[in-house]
Amino acid sequence: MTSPGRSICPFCSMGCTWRLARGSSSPYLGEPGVATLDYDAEGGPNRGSLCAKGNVALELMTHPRRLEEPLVREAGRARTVGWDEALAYVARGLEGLRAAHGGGAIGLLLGPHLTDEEAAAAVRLARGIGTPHVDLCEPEDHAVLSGIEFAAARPARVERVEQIDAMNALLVVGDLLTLAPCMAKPVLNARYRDRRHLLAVLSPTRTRTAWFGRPALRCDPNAEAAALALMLALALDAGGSAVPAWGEDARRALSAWTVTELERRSGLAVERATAVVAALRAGPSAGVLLASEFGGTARMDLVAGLAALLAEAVGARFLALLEGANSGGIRDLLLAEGFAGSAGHTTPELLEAAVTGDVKALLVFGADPVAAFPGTIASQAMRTASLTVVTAHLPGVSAEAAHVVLPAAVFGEKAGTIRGAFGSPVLLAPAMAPPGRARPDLTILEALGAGLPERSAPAAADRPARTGAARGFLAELDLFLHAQGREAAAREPGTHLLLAEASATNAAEGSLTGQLSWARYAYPEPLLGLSTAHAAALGVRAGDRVRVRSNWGQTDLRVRVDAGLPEGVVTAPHRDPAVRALLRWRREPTVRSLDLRPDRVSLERLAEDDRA
Amino acid sequence: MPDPSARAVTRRIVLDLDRCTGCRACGAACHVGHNDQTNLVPGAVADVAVLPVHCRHCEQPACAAACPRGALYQDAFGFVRRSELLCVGCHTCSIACPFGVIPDELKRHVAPKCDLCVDRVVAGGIPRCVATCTSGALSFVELQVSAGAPEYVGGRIQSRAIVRRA
Repeated sequence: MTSPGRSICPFCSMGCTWRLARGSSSPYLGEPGVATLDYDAEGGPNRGSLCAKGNVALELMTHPRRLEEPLVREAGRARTVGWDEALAYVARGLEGLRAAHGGGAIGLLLGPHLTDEEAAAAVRLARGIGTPHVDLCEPEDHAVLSGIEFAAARPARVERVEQIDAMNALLVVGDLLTLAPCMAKPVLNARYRDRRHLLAVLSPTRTRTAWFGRPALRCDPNAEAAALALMLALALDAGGSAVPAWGEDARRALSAWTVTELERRSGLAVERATAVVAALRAGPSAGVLLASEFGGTARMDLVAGLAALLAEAVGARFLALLEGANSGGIRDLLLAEGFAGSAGHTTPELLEAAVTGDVKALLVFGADPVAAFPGTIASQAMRTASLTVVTAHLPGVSAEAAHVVLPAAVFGEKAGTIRGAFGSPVLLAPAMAPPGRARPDLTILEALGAGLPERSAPAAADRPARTGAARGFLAELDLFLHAQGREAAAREPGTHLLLAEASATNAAEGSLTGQLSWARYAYPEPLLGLSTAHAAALGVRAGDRVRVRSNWGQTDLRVRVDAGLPEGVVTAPHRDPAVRALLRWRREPTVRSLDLRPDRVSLERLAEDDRA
Repeated sequence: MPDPSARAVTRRIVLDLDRCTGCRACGAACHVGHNDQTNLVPGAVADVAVLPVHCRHCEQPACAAACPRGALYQDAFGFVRRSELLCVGCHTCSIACPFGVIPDELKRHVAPKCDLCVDRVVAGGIPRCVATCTSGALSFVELQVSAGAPEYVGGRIQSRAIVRRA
């Protein structure tokens, strides 16, 4: 529950709460009546903590560049208009496209910060328009949620943060402490409650989370899925009474792979994997925590699905930490309502359809697809579509490309419910009024849907049935393991695998976090991680500039020497737009989500005079 | 200098090195809470780990002794504070500080100095960096001589191998 004056941090799905204090006695903030941020020790899973991102949450509301007036951009010229005119412009455009091309020519992209009510209003709007194309616009979360859905795993969920405190065996997949720093308190409580407690961290590089791993499970770059497949095979082999219904299918599928073969594919030692699986199975209380922040592995969907299956197989509780505050809630709602890829396009398909011209209008609510997606697909889509509408609270690259920009409210300025990682609804209450003429997305969505006919949901029979078993998922895993062997064999000399690592800036916020004062101060620029040997071979030292080229683009980055990096691997933070441009755009056909595949890059040392 | 026994607040910030994840939330809280002036900066330990470096509020502060303008003083609570009006930003205190916790702040041309969030502490609260700490590494504890075995904060540092991260 949220009381007035209490707000929620929008920067990941942990759902941390903070309070708004008015009037400060601080010698530095001497003005009475000025709202200041205060820590909320009672409510919320954070128990008073806030990470570097959360501490600037208030700045979102009071930011000097907040969008306050609706904008309409015609022939490259933007003009400020009133709400009536902006909404009429959008309604006219939508009506024209619907008459000419049908409702299917219009697609809706929902940002991860919309409330459940706003997502429901988007569903009503889509029904009124007659389009099946509505989906969540957040690439990493989309991949993770699709993977868990595809695997059809049903592990018990971590329902309260106190359950993590009491755990005696934890497996963490992904850079949890960079994505959700406030998870450090419960995870380290569990780790330090008793020195024998296990905190296994699966990671190819030394991330902030892997640093705390006992044991730190080092797998090969890009081989998290193979490592989890190994652990799943070991867990199923160990048998026991609690093998889930899909266990037989999985055992059969994985029997094609010997343990030695999986060890070779993953680079994870069998003994270490066996010890971790045994500790997770031994209980009495174990957990698998997954963060949608993987150091840029290919097939995040497989990693997420396998983590969920493993949790179910060992009887551990499962928690998926996502990038967006309400990504899980929005996607659950869309799936329940028959959207999000069942009949219509998923977000990656929608962007492709916009580029080919099959989709003519993109309505983007609270998201910045150009900043969030790798490559140029989203900017092409925004350019090609004949009507683009973006609701945003700060200027961003998508808003700059849109025909209509509608100023929106942020958390703390709007009411509603969201469902964070722990699955229980959190009630939001407005603590402040939105600036200028900004409105909550709910009001905007309802105004757009006002004149449209009421249409009922498609009958349940029309929707494709959800797979009950993990069979399709396991077949896909088999293909992946085969392909991985081939990829490793086909490594080109002179190129390096770019592993995109986590940074604390937020994809969904994209251009936004760059505008917040602390984010700029704490994460001034993206650095390219090089191993010591590699840096010596190139003749560069920490701080030197290097030109990074992939097949898709090039960028200049400053070097950070990281002795812990495996051979043939370089890292760069994938939230950075320049790094995103180096990554490959690839849609994974089976789950219809984005495959953020690490790419091969070549490096070139920049001479002194090239430095800008 | 006020009589130490008369100090109203004898608590200080303590860092448990085993728990610090280097998330920099403490610095962010300090930055936001002090109107964009950062009094606490994350320090890098030999380029391998990031830890908050905070003012110890010494009983006999070297910074105050070094200040040519008398801008640094010990208040009634025993907190070492800096008068913004008197400070000219000569950074003598930065040089004098044995712990290197007074950073350069170019924005305001004065040297920022931790005030232990006196506004919160006198109201019964805890400093912002401690309140915000995501891992429970920072605590605000009473200064007292323990009757039992000495508490060795950060004693597990070798087991957690801060050195190993190199």
